[in-house]
Amino acid sequence: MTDEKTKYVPHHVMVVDTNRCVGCWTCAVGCKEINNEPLGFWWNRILTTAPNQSTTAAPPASENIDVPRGVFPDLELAYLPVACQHCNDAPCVKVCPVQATYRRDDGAVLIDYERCIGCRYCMAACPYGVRIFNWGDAEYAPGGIVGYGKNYYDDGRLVFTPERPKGVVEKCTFCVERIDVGEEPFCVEVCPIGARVFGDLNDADSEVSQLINEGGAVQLHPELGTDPNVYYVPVRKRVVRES
Amino acid sequence: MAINTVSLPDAAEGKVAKSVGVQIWYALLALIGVIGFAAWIYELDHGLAATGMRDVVSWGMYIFTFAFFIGLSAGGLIMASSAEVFGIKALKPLARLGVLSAASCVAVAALMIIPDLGQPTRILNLVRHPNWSSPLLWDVLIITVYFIFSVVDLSVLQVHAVEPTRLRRTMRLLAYIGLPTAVLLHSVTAWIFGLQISRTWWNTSLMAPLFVVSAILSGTALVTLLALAAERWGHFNLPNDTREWLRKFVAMALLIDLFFVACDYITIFWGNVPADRSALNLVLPGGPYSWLFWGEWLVGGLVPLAFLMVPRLRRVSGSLGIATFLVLIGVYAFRIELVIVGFVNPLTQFPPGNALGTYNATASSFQLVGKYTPSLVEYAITLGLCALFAAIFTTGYRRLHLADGKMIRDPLGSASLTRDEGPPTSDDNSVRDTTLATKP
Amino acid sequence: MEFSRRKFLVGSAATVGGVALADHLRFLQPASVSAATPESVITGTETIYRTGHSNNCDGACGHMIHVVDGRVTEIGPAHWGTKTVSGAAAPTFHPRICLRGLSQIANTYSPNRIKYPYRRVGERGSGKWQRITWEEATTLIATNFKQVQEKYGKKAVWIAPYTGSLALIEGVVGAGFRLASVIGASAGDSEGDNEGDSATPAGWNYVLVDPDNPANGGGFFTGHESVDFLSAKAIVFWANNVAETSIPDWRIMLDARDANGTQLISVDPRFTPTSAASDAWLPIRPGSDTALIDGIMNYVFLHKLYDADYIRRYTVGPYLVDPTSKRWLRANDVLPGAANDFVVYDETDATLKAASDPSLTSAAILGTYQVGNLRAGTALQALADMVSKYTPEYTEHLTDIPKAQIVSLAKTWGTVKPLAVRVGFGLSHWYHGDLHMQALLTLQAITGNIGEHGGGVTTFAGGLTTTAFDLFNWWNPTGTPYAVLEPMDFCDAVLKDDPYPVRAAWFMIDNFAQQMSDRNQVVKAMKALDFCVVSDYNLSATADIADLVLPACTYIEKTDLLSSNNFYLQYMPKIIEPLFESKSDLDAIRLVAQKMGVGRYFTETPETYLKQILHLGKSDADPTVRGLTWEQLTTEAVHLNTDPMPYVPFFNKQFPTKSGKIEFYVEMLVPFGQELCEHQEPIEASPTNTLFKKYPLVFLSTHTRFRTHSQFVTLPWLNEINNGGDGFLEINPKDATRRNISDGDVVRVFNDRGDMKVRARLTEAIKPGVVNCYQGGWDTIKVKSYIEGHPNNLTHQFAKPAQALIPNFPSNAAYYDCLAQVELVRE
Ligand SMILES: Nc1nc2c(c(=O)[nH]1)N[C@H]1C(S)=C(S)[C@@H](COP(=O)(O)OP(=O)(O)OC[C@H]3O[C@@H](n4cnc5c(=O)[nH]c(N)nc54)[C@H](O)[C@@H]3O)O[C@H]1N2
Ligand SMILES: Nc1nc2c(c(=O)[nH]1)N[C@H]1C(S)=C(S)[C@@H](COP(=O)(O)OP(=O)(O)OC[C@H]3O[C@@H](n4cnc5c(=O)[nH]c(N)nc54)[C@H](O)[C@@H]3O)O[C@H]1N2
Ligand code: SF4
Ligand code: SF4
Ligand code: SF4
Ligand code: SF4
Ligand code: SF4
Ligand SMILES: [Mo]
Repeated sequence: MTDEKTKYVPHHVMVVDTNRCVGCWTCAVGCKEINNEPLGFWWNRILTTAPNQSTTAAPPASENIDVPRGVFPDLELAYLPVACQHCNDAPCVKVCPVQATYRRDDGAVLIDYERCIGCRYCMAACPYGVRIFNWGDAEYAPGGIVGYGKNYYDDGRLVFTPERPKGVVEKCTFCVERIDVGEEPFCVEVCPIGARVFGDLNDADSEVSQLINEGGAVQLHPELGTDPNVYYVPVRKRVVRES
Repeated sequence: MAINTVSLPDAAEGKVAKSVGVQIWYALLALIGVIGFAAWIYELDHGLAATGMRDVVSWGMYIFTFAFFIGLSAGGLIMASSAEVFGIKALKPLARLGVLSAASCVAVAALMIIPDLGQPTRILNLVRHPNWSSPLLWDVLIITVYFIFSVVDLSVLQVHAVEPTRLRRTMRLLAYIGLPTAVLLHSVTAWIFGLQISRTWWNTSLMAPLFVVSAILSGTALVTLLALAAERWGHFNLPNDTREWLRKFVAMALLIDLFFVACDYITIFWGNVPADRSALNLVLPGGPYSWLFWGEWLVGGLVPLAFLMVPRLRRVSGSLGIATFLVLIGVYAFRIELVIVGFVNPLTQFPPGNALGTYNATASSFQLVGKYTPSLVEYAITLGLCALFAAIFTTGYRRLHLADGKMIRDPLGSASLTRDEGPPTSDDNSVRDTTLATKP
Repeated sequence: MEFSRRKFLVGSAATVGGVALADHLRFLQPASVSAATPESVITGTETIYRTGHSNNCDGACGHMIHVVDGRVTEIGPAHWGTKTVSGAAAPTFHPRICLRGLSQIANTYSPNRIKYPYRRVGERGSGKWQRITWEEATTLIATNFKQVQEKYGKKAVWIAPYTGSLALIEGVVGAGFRLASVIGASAGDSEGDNEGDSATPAGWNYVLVDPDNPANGGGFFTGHESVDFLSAKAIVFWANNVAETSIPDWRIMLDARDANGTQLISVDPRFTPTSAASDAWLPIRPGSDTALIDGIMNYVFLHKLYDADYIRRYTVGPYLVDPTSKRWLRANDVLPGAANDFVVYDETDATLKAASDPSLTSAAILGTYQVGNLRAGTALQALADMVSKYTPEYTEHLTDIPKAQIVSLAKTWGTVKPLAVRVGFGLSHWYHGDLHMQALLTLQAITGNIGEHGGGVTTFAGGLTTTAFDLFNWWNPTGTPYAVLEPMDFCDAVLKDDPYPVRAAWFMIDNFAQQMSDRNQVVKAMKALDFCVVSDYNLSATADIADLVLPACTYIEKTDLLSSNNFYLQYMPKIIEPLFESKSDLDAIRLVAQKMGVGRYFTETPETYLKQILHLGKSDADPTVRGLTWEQLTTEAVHLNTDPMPYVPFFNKQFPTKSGKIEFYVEMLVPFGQELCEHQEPIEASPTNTLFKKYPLVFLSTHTRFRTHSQFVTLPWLNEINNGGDGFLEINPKDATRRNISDGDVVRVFNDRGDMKVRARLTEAIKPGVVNCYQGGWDTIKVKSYIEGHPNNLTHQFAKPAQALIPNFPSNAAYYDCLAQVELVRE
């Protein structure tokens, strides 16, 4: 994360363009693959919503995905991929009694799998519902460990291991093991629509900076003051023809 | 501990141990305890998958029972301290019983957390890597303080009871510390929930006062019940003015408690913020959790109020016992409601919802609106810990000779509080079942 | 990971040699999960391969496959070559992949894989199997095939290699045809038109291709390179759910919108992710598409928004039509001394001339002229007359689209240029799919959008890659072609010996018993076969009723080449060894061929065949691949030599029709009354149908992003996000309420042909009067994606006679042209 010579610390952010996202779930499956997530675990998931719907607004039209809002033929449908928002003022970091969850200087919020006591307070505290607990022995898709497949230590702390121990909590890592070697998070790499952008907010010329500064990208639940490092470009009003 | 320095009549002990009823009682508690322990071993092996908790509702019976016990622990200490601080004489006979109950409750509450941990062996990380911004850490701290305090207080009261001249100043001092400690305990526990912006159902500044009131309410109710039980089976003497005071006090606490809850409802109604409303709708009649509403408002609210306040009902035999028992149910319902509804109604509520963290080939791996049914393991462990509470309390009660007539005297040496005070009221259980009696 | 493999090998040891009952065959049972694996980290060196994803999705993505110790550990998107075969710069093409591609790891290591050859031991379809050796299996196949051929004639063996894979050697154009040809068997057709994808291609050929010209090979089908949509100013998704069925292409549409403000318009009875992300959505009554197109054309004519110059130069618009015969007026019939040519009216000197008359300055495109004693109008005039009744009101009446929306779309069509149409094969799943395509091409022709960058009508754009291959010699090494027996003719051939008896079949990359329409009939026919072999890596519904199943390889385990729906050649190396006892289809065919005495045609390696098919290094290689080297082919995905770039069919405006022009007036369809694209009601799914009273709902069975047809169906990753793997019926709350149906209720969907049970999903995203149940789920002995049955229990096999004019696309299964009723099932 830190360039040894310059001691430069980037400010990592991800921007999801909801104009582009078609809810295909490729990023979610990609995340599952690269992180060897057990069955029933989804660090990243695609919520069915309507364009620019406030996340605390009226209940959805249905409990099923892909069901639009409105009455035929006046319908609205949009998708919101949600993984850890990597909050700068993260409730999960605040509540973790043992500092197992911590924020790295670049903005990534990580979990030390060797320190977590499994109290799940962080899950109660996270407003975005992105944390997943290892309730018991995980089940995996057949075929063995997939994805990155190795342990990854951040400053001596185990922040990724292909098979997480029972009784600890886990979530999106911003793909630290990839971004630390200059690769993109896997969900960004696989998104077939180019709806996800990752980069350095310190760099004013970066695509993410532009999307945030000029593209009007916003955070989820800004009113909570969690100051996430994941941003969403709202759906621009489309030219709707008279009906 | 201090009690060891106090000489106790050993004859009593011998008799106690021989009682068949007590042995059955202990055997029963041991059985429940062993089942609970076995369930915990099972849970350690299978992980928390053995519970009914999953990712949307990720706290369950352990936590709401924990919060319940924390609340219960309030009563005794507050009573003991109030007796001292506010000079409420009617409460004095309950002081030791109360503090004993407080200590047992808080100990059991603390233990309640252990089976809830995914990695219980790492519990010392709390000491090794404490995070001072976490309400949980503060709660652990205050629980520890509260437990130690209760034990000390009990010892002091005990010494005082045996030798009324000793430790009077210490007792007074402790009384003054006890009140704020209790208030703090309940506030910090409330803040575990109340500070979380993630759950609108929790995130109210009323949470701490509400916890304090409901703690006082349930704690007093518990002590009342324990006293009534002691009276019935343990030859404890509950004076009539104490009884009357308890009746009024519980009624008052219940009214305030319901008032606070109502305040929250009104705030939600008036504001009509969807996220808040969707949580409240779960609870209100018609919603899936309305049984908790009825538990809280009817079973634990209006009915006990009636038993406590309506003259005709007051006269029903055992009305105080019935009322306080129902109050406990009501407060437990409130604890369940607090924890579960907070989870059931996540802030971000779009399909498909949150990943559950477990896989079922034929069901969805997601939940939009949380569901929770405690597993047998949770019931077993929780009941086991309740049995532990009963065992601690019984033992304490017996070893400290709380029912020993000799020791029931006014710690301040004022009016004598013996059972011959006044004529028995209709709800005074004058006919007692003596099978479990330890003394003739 | 050796875990599951070892486990299953151990499991099998017990059954070797003995007759095993179904219960012992754990390896055949669908188990969708394995326990936590013992290993905790991946160790060993990683090798990364590039391959193409060939599994019946036109996305035709490139995959990077990471392998450690012979096991696949990661699949990711692959980059594309930046050069053409001849070294010119290729267009920018982003790496692409989707959720199904990523799930191929789980597919390859799925416990559902067929691991060994098996022979049926119980009744056909009873699910009782005995493991046998490849030697035994191939001997059985050879003997049975020979017997059947002796008894019923050579063609009585049917080789049915369809689109389960789009690869070259083992897919839609694969080795099965070569086998059929050398043993004289019959085989299904090969144009990717299996089952339901040939109606629109037929329509395309009516207008753009002369099927009788041998140079056209019996008809072909191609479209614009996907990056060509970047030039469009408006893109209409007509019955095309791109955002689900060709997910990576959606990026290009958005790039166009971002770059040019391109309008995206969706015409679909369902509010799909594509419709939701488009700028406009026209919820059309299914099957009424031609009416909408006619309505648009009427507006275009009335407001003179057609491209007169284009029509004059590139279409048959100015040619006069004989009003009595409806055929072209021929110059040699009406003009003294003229050649056999079309007749036009020159506006400049007001005379009739032959089309090739050098004195012609400006042929009239509209108008009716006196020719002898006839009043002959131009073809365009005939079209204008035909569409004149499609006023916005009438069109609204037919299509259920509000007239304002019709007018607005028509305005766009007449004024925005270039305008591209992406047509889904969804439009082809209609009896009149050919007509819909004919109508779209007609509209695109009169607005000057054919053969232009950013225009055209595109469904599939891989046509060129097939011309890059010498398929004829690959299929017919003896020079004698195999006999074609269409999928639609299979049932009659087996059950009624029509056109000839078929008694044995080999299904190798096809789930015929489930994916083909009128499934009850299909299963009946399959069960009536004397001998039936299925090669698959899954125990599909088709394998369920086989006499013999052979374990096939997945795309990772064998060498091949993918060249579908884009303009790149993607070499597919064998990346891991075939798992268990699976063999590539080529190897299986080779073994059978040897035993049938034709082994000499199957001696080469796949690499050698690829070289042969591509004429690699030969001067007679097709221009698109001329100069290609093996190194080039195997190191990157190389773009074909195309002109122009990105590829646009008929960019040079040389149309391979009889007239050399766009023939929106299709003379050969006169006998069918379809020379012009006049709207016709669906064969079944129409309120004009008497059946409509009994079955008032149009029953669609479309494609979902959570599987590709019947592939990936049992994979837990995908099922977790796809309703736990349970199929559902999309129904509008209006229709549901009328039937007392609530969300999640079990309903029965039925018509005279069959029924299915499934849970209802109430959604406003579907037009009232239409229901939809995603096709492809399984109804096998072991796995039921629907509570009971399958959508294809209800579909039919009505073939449209006109289509037979196009040899390569002669019949089509009209899956969506189907009526049904839905009723609540009390549980
Ligand atoms: N009701 C309804 N039915 C439909 C449709 C619809 O929309 N509605 N769509 C139709 C359309 S458009 C199509 S294209 C067809 C597709 O129909 P099919 O091509 O029959 O379906 P698939 O599931 O793609 O593949 C068939 C089988 O090929 C196997 N397979 C894949 N790769 C290989 C290989 O390399 N070797 C071997 N031996 N086997 C392999 C798979 O495991 C699978 O069992 O379905 C048609 N059926
Ligand atoms: N995820 C996924 N991708 C696939 C496949 C798959 O199975 N899964 N299969 C591949 C294959 S082989 C094919 S053929 C293609 C098919 O790709 P598409 O043609 O895009 O898919 P469909 O789902 O058949 O139909 C598209 C849309 O047509 C609409 N529709 C149905 N009837 C009508 C009608 O009468 N008029 C109009 N205007 N619209 C209508 C349907 O509502 C549907 O939304 O997808 C390919 N890609
Ligand atoms: S992969 Fe891209 S388009 Fe698909 S759901 Fe994720 S962000 Fe959206
Ligand atoms: S999204 Fe949740 S888990 Fe992630 S940093 Fe914010 S609070 Fe923590
Ligand atoms: S579950 Fe682990 S990470 Fe979360 S708060 Fe508890 S100790 Fe911290
Ligand atoms: S950044 Fe990595 S861990 Fe986070 S959602 Fe994307 S792929 Fe998953
Ligand atoms: S299934 Fe289709 S879109 Fe997905 S990776 Fe394969 S070819 Fe690409
Ligand atoms: Mo297809």
